[in-house]
Amino acid sequence: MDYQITTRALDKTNNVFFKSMLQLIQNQLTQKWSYEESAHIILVDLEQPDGIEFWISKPRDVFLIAYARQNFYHAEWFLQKPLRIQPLLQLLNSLAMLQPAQLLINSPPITANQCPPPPKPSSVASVPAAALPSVPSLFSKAMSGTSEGKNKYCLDNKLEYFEPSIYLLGLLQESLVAARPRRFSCLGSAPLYILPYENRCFSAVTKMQQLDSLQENLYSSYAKNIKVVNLTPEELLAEVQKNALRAYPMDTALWLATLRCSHGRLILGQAPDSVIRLKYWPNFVVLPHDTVHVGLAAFMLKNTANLITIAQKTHTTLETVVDFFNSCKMIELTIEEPASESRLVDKKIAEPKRRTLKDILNRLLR
Amino acid sequence: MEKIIFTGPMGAGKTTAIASISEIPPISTEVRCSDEALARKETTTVAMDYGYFNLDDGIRIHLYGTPGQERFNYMWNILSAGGIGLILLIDNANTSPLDDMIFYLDAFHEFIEATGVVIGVTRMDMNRQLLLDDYRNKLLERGQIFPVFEVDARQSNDVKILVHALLAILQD
Repeated sequence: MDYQITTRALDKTNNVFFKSMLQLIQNQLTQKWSYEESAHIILVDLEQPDGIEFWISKPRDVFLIAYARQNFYHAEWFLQKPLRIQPLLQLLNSLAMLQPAQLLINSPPITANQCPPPPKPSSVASVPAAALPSVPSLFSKAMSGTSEGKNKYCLDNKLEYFEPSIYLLGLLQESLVAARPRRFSCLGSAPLYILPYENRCFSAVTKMQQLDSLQENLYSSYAKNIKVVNLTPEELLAEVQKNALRAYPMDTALWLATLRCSHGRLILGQAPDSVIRLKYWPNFVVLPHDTVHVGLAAFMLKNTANLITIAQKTHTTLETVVDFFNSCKMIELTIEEPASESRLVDKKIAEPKRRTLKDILNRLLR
Repeated sequence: MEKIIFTGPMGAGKTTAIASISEIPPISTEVRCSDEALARKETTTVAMDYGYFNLDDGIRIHLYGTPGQERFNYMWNILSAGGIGLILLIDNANTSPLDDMIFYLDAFHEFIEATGVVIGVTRMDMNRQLLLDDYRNKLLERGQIFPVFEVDARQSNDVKILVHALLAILQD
């Protein structure tokens, strides 16, 4: 099916950017999408007066997508500024899953005098609300439902789960199973070489912890956009030497490929209500991480709990916990326990001490 | 007084690690090695290393490095008393680094029980016979799960990760 989309109130730069990005991602879209001057699917800039006016006029027979830095209007379909490839892809592919009739339903009504409410702390602020698989809903449905419901989400609803095989991660896994030395490259990114029998990978990137957006491309790309070349071990090592590539443990590539692609979606086949703990600490020196991941590791080593409890107790978004869990699982750091083994250890630290520890951390991270 | 203790065998990188996060060049009581250790290192710490960094509210976090050689172990309790936690550095290129790790964990047992420990394994590139999993498995044999990282003590980022992990386990 062909889909047409247009924009409303986007400034010239954003409009040009949107059109070229739409062309750029054509081969990654599940359906053909084209930009037209007039279409019933409309991306509306809600930071422009024209856009707000159009939005609140509740036009008939159009399907509106909110475009702004924050989803102030709690629009069902939302694309966050600035435009980025991955969220746009997710949004359009999600829209293509809807029945054609659904695409003609108007967006939620909004009154003319309604002011944008202050931004709610949103765990999905960086990803379009509509495009991001709804992890909380997945969890709530699976956890409140019967085992039948759980199976439905585990086995059928791939949209809400992270499916490694369609990303770089799937290619890496397949190469490890086949024990094939390979080079993976994606436009603009430094290639990644893997040598399965040595459990190592190589890259020109000197600090995996500080990848720029161009280098991130490879790790967040769909498999179909990655060029894979088989190499002999000799050829691979010759390229490593010639290009003075840096060696990393294979875990670094697996970890990064998971962290950059899971987008808060639980890895396919994983039950949302599993009770989990970590076997041992992730080696953060070679595993790119955020500050929050260190705290999660400490918690998940001491406590055995399901992901929702982990998120609540660590005051972390569920999406972050899920991404961290997926990455740990991918490098075999996780242990699943029966629900009866759920165990939370009481924290004993005094508040002044906690403040000092926090201050030390802030100082170190500066 | 808030202080973080760095310990480990001679040559594991304690002085270097302190230097990498201290606001001042570390003050060291180093002397020229006069015994068989000379073959491995020109100088060694005999009393302590000292460095610090300041927090925004003026609190100074002191960084103490214990002397590496066992004959100076009378200093260990003195230095660690009242410390926030322990960072244990192990030289993977040493003759028996797993034994070194166990030795220091036992020597600081009470301090670790009261606070926490993070283990940094240095010079992994010099000896690939022992991997991080060997350290983890040795700890598991003892029923211990401590953070173990492969670090380069010269890299402030690596040392910061050690301290960060220590702070995380102290908070949880």
